[in-house]
Amino acid sequence: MQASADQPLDLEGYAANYSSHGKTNRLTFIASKSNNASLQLDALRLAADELQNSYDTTRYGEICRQIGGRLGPLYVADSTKLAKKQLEAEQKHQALDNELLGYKNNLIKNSIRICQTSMGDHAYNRGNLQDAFKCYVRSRDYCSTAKDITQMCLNVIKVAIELNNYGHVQNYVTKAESTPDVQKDNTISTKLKCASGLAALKDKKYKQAARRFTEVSAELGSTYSEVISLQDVALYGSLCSLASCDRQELKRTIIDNFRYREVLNASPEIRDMVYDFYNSKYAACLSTLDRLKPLFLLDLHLHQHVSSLCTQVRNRALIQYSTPFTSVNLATMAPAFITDVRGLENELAKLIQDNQIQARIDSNAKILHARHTNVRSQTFKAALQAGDDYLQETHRLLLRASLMRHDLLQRAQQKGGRMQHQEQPMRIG
Amino acid sequence: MTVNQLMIAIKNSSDTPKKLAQLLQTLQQSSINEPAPALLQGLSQTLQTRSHTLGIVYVLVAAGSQGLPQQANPQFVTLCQYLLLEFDVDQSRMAPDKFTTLCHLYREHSILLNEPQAALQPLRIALTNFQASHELITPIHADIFQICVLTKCYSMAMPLLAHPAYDVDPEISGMTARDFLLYSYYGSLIHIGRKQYSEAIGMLLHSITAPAMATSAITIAALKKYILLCLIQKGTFGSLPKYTPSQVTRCLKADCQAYMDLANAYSADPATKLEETAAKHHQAFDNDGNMGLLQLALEAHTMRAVQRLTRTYMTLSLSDIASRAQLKGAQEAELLVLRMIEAGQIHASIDDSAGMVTFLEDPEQYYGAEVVDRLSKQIALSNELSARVQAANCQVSLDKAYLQKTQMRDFGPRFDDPGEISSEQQMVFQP
Repeated sequence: MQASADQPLDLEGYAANYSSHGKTNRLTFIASKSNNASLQLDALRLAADELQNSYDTTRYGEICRQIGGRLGPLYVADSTKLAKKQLEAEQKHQALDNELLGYKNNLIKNSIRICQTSMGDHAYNRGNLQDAFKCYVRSRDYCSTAKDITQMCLNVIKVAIELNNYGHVQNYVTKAESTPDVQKDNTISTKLKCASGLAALKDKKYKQAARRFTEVSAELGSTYSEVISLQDVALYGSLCSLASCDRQELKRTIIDNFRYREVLNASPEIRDMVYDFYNSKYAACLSTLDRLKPLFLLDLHLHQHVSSLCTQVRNRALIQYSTPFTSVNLATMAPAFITDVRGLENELAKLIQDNQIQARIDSNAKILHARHTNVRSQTFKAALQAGDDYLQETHRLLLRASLMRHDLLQRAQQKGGRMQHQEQPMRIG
Repeated sequence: MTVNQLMIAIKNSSDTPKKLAQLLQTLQQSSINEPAPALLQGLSQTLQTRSHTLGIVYVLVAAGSQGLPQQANPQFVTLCQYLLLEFDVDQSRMAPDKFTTLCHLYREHSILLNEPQAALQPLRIALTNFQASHELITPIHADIFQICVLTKCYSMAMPLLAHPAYDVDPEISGMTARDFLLYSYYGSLIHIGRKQYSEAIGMLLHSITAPAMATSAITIAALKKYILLCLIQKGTFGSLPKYTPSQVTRCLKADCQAYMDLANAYSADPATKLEETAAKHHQAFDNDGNMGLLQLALEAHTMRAVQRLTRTYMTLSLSDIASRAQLKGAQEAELLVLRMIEAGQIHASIDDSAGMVTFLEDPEQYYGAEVVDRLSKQIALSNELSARVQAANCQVSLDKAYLQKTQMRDFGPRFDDPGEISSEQQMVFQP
């Protein structure tokens, strides 16, 4: 998505990146999250355009209701038309059902699979995701070739992503990747990488997500537009890498990765942000990040992770900035992070406390000093502690063994086992 | 048997081991139901503590059990005292359970009479004579510890706690599971009284991890203290050791909710809810008599915050310390820092004119003879303990029940052989 905060999102261009459910899902998401009325209305209009001729009548009706006549008579749901569509869909479903029954009676494996898949497709088009999921999963028993299996997996993954059921996504990605020949088919393996990247992102496993997304090449194009666009891969992959990789990893996964660089070219702003980060121009990088943040919040998959990802990127920048120095003057460091000395001091203090920066702050002179931990004393301390622990544990073990050997078990309703509280209420000052 | 007959029987059959065994049998079979004054009267007139120990123990237990828990009997206490100061060890070991019951009764009467100190010395002497070795835990330990805690004479119990105890043997000592729990609970209270928190934690763990099929109120009380002490000592309460009985682990949720809430608020960062949680469960802590420990835990929290600052900063102004450690002002911060420097908890110096504190690194570099000394001591102790573990292992491998069980497992359950299954069982096993 290419736009800045003051010049709101180019919605038409954005929506053109996606097709079918991918488009409507994202548009309705934007409409629900945005508090800009015109943007909201635009999003709803585009979604209604997309759905107008589909079988997903419930959703179309819902969107028209949200528009509420604000866009003229063209965007008011026509109930007779909707009923007709519904009837048509129902008839198609019946036809497919009968067909399936016929194949099942004759046990024609391949036809059963094809029919199940088309039933799944039909349910998917009607917006009936649960049924679609069931149909696709059922077709699994009738898969005979590797190609069938990967196709089935891709279908299941697509629906599972929409259902927000990322456990299934991960499962079926693994299943698809383990079928032979799938690695040779670039389109399919790229799709699988995107899907597992999304699953990792949902799980907050940013590093894993970064790895999967950066393996995607620009060949993806618009082949997976019902789920994800090339721009999205660039955005998710870059943000996750910035948040979770150190300098060497960043160099390996993005800067030296010519395939992914082509992906990045799809969204120049993100690309510049990554390069700024790598070239230690943190101020430029962080200001781009701040500028784009409101747009990230409108992204279907990213919105939950925006704040934690941005914080992590910032922290990583702070760590990388301070690592090479033995002492840094906070006053010179602050402008590089678009903050004041006081704020910077607090941020650094937090990182030091979390053991992410090995340094100490001279708050009087406002200087950050690198700290070299004394490994020798730490080892001594740890060894003595381990010794103490061992002695205590073993002592307890022996006593417990002795209790067991003499059968001194605490049992229910022991004779004379009065409540100790009543016997002796005792206070320690 | 009347009092007179009883006294005569005891008097006549306390000289040879054979007669003593007979006497023990009679005493075990008969129940002594005479009123306490008559018994004590007869006792003091006819019997001598050293030669008639066994009989006296039985009579005293019968007399002392009366009137409790409302009424104490001064005469009983006096006679007990005489007996415990001078008794025949062999006779006392013939009925260890009765002897230790007598000690319990003596303790209870003394407390009721409001003179627990007086019981301390006799009980200690009794323990020294009665105990076969330092490594043996007896029920008398718990009595002594309890009195020490009540009278705040913590040092009196130290000799007993100094020796690590490895053995409980009900055959010799008449020990019960409850006695063991009390031993470790009161033992920990003594360590707490002496501010030896890590030792107290170790002691509490004995009772928490003791094998159990049901949870005792003592264990729950120990659990509560354990949580608070972990907060004081380590700053967090993680989880119980994995060998804790599952019943006890379950109690954590069911009976210690206030404490778990506190622990969660305690380790949260920033700990904004801590004061609130402590105030909310005020009643629970008060009922358990844990207000003092709670206070200590809250203080430790502030100190830990200051300690964390030493890792982060080289210099920091007093007012900044106050704001970061959530203190009221620079004055309070200065006082706290001063106290912590004195206690050796942090290493720092205060520049009073500028209001700045300079934190220094820990001067302990682990050079020097004491470190070597400490290490070699630990190694020696570890060796000794492993030898014990070896011995215990050896003993277990000679145990008949253990051998039978392991053999069963090795050869599988017996009804693998279809010939041994009855027809009924066969029906069950058929699919």
